[in-house]
Amino acid sequence: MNCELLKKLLDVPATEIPDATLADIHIHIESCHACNQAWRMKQLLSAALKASPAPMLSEAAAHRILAQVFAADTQRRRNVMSVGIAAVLVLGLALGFTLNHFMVPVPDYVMRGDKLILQSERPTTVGVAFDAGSTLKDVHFTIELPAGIQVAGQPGVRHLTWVGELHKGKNLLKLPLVAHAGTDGLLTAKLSQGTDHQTFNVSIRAEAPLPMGSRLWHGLAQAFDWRS
Amino acid sequence: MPSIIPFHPKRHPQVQRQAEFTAWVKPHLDMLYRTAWRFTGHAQDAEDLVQELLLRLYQKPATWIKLDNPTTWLMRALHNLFVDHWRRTRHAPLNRRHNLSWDDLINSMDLGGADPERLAHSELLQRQIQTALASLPHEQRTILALHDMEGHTVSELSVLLKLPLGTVKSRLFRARRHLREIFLANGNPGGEFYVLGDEVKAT
Ligand SMILES: [Zn+2]
Repeated sequence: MNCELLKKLLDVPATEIPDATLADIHIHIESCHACNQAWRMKQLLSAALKASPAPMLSEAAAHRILAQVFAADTQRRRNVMSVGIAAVLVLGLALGFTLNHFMVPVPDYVMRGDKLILQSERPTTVGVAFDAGSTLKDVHFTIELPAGIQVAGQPGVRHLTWVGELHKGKNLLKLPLVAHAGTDGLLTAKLSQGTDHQTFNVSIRAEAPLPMGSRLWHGLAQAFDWRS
Repeated sequence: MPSIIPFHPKRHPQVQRQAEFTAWVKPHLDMLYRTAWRFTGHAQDAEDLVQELLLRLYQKPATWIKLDNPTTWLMRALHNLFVDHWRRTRHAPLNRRHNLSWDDLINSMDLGGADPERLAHSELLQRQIQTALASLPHEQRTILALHDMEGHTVSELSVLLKLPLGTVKSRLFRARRHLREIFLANGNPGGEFYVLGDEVKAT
């Protein structure tokens, strides 16, 4: 072993150097100060790289990364889709997708003006009624709930879709919901059939337990007499 | 009496896709983040790099849905994204005035008689290593990170990087030499320490 040879081995992992060569190196560095220092440094660097700590990904960071991925994707879709949706809406109106909807109060919630008031933290079945001009098959129902409200028994679920049909006349959809106190937003029901579609928004709000006396019957529901 | 609309909710397709993607990628997130951290040397950059990779993947479901064993594929994609597209550099340039000198290194860590395996854990030394790594070209940094730090074998890297074994080895060799040179130059403001060639002649 000599200094030049040893220098060439400084960037080869010790595990890849034959034992006999390693033995030669050790003999050499006992009497050569420069190579001794260089060899120690090589060992130190190699050990330090191996020992270099890397942080763990926290649950919060994992959640943040995925949330940002989905948000960026949604934003991109929105940019791409906005023209298409506008066109579909116009078409829907032109073909007269004739639906009306009404909120049907049951004792666990009240209508205050146009606003649906829910009792917070308590599963509540909200009736949403649609009045169809004719029977409609293969209707795609989409319900979107505001943050803080979810489907009872399905934590975190705020978007729902399914396919069903509407009979001519009045149709009642019973939505089992749970809301957190202070939630205030829009419940959106979108019904579509083929290229027709119609969207209904209902203002919804969750409050601490409602006083018994305030559970009102909404005039509309009485007029249709759907509760009897 | 009104007709009752049967209520058979399914998740919104987009929410469903998010749930599927989350379930698919979750087992690999730690590995991706850890590797991204090795590549970038910075927590926020690592998050951003992983996020960018996942966004690209998520937008092409046909790509990820079909992968049976995605580990190698994901690592390759992360590597390529970093090497080819990651232009951000947060690391400070070498700051010779504030870096450890070789004499300081010996004195502060008693290197003369100490065990390199033990010294390797020194926080000061680790900071020096990070600074030196940050100064390497991307391709050298990634190969050192994957082999010398994360423990992937040369054969694994040959598959992962789609390079011949010999190329992986020579790239590793050059990366180590470069790192050592930076580390030593960095560790000694005057650059007097690593003059092995001259000392060789003297001995
Ligand atoms: Zn020597």
